[in-house]
Amino acid sequence: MVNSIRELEVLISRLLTFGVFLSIFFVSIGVGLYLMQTGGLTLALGDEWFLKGETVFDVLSNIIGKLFSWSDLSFVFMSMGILLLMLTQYIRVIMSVIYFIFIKDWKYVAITLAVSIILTLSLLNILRAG
Amino acid sequence: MLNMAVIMLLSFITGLVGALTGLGGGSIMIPLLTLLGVPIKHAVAAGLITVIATSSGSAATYVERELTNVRVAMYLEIYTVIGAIIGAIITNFIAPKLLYFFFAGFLMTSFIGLRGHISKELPVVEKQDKLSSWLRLEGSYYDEALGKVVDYKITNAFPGGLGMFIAGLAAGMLGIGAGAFKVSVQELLLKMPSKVSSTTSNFIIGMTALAGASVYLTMGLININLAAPMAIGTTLGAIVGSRILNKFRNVTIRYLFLVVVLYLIIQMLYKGVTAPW
Repeated sequence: MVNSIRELEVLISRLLTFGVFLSIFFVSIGVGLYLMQTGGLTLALGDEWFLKGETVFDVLSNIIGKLFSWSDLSFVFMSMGILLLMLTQYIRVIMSVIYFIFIKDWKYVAITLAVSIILTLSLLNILRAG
Repeated sequence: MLNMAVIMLLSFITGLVGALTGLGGGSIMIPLLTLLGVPIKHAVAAGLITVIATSSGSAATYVERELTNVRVAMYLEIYTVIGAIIGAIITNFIAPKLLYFFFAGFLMTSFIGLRGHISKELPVVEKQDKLSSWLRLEGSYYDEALGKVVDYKITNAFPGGLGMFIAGLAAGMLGIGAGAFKVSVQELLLKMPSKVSSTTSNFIIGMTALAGASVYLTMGLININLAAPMAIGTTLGAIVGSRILNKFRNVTIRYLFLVVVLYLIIQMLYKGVTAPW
């Protein structure tokens, strides 16, 4: 059937499954470390627990920097999990464009490309709200 | 006292309901968090992470089982993402009071519309419009509750798109996934079967919420200590939900959805009444 995009469905499904499990894995390590450090699961709402950076990619590189310096590990692992959760959705959108180019379905290349561009601009913080 | 285990449990339930109804669960989680003492902006930011988790957790199964119509989702994403960005920009210029009443009205219309065909198991589209057939907006899925393959055609691609634009506006203005708006537009205008509508909405909200979350992230409003247990709970709830959806009848899903919409209408009206000008 010409209409079928079964391969894309399989790809997206595997990507999401992989992304979700890896993300939960990292977050769980972070929560485990937190439990060991504080001896409890009381939530901390202090300033040091907020992610900081100009763009999503900026935040990500900050976290990777911290990982290499092996500091704040529970924060680093939880953050990596959350960022991975976000990034999985982004990769899903980009992957769809590539797939439609691959099967030469130009209508949907145009549609998915438009979505990717808008999303990328918003991730790069170019379309700042207000 | 705020405890990670409590947050995880609440998120699990939210993820489960979200996966079944096509709602991200932000509008369930945000009021609960504020009740527990989390400042509203931090609650909204964490709520968007919940929406992404619900979407990824459930869409993995829904897409694999061909319940989600990926093609339709991608066409509709253009409208929602543009709506979300415009919404986020103009939200500062509109009195919140008006906003809440407008969206309460929108939801009430869809509540009445959906109530009208509550007992109809599947929609019937005899003739597709030109745009819908040009974009090949159609599909089929195996319905476990009915025990058969259901073929369906989507219609009203353009008005449906505009409806999704309004859903996007709501998402951007209120900082929610706006799944309730999406599901309503998809069922009432685009004539999607309920399960396809829930699952397609679930797929789309992940992307819309990502756009929203990135704004909150760069404003430094995402608290990792709060987001972490929410992500774990919601994802697990969504995975469980996505595995049981197809066993229910479309009618059951619609009833569950209507209950949540009713709750949302009350929430919007309450906020509208209490919001300052």
